[in-house]
Amino acid sequence: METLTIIKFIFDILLSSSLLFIAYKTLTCKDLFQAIVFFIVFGLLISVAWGRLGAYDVAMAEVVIGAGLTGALLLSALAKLKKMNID
Amino acid sequence: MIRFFTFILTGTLFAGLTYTVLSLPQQSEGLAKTVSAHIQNSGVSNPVTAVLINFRAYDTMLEMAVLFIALLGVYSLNSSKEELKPLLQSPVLKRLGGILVPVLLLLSAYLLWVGVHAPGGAFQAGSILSSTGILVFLSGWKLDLSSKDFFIRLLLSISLLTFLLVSAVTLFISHTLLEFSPTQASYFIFILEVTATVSIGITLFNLFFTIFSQTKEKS
Repeated sequence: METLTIIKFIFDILLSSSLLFIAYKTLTCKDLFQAIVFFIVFGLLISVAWGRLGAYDVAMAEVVIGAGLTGALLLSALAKLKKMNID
Repeated sequence: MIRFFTFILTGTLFAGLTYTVLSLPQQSEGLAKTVSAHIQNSGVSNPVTAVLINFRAYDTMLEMAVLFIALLGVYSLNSSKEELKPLLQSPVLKRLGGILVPVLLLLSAYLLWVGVHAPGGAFQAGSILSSTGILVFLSGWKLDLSSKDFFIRLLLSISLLTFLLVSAVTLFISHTLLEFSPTQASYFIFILEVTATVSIGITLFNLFFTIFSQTKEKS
């Protein structure tokens, strides 16, 4: 039981520090495509955080909408942006 | 100079938020007790679904309206010429789509069904439905769900229409907006959940589809 608590604690620390790191990378990234990929990764990680908090409904919605659909929308918007720059 | 002001504003916001979080009462009961006291009257046994579709159904109705208006905004940016040619011509994606689509449809139906007594529900099911649509579209299958069709327009707005109809019916029966009697609540919730799933699925897919088909047209 004691080791399980320690493992959970370490996992939470790793999760929150990587969330902060990915958020920093998303904001400061020069390349837009990389930023979108970081954003998708951020969505996946934050859904894990919601799961750790016990909010499974929000975790599911976050995986599908936050990571999946928003990522696809952002990527198609990026493709459109590139087209407009070339034209 | 602008960076300095942004830094000051962000710092103030951060300090305010930190103060708010730290000044919260240590042990707050929240509304969990109230919800669990009334859950047998709500028609479902999952507290989240009970709050979303029964206790706070008004909020959910407005959410559906917001989604609908967002789609109208995206449509207004759309040009009339649309070309339906998939961007990704990958045999792997096509094959994978054939395997994944039935599984995803089943998963969507399961999430809708399980929302009555466990985490799940209309929003999750609807968004999985829309990602299935995106997968089908990207795999290169013909999938014309654009708003030209009257049937598609009906499906897009069916959730909002059902919410309005149910509000009118409940207003007529019990003189309170969206108040369900315990015996009929589960039927109302079932109708609202199913229509919300269909509308959310098609709306989210159309948000993607509208932008993407525009991109195609220029190439």
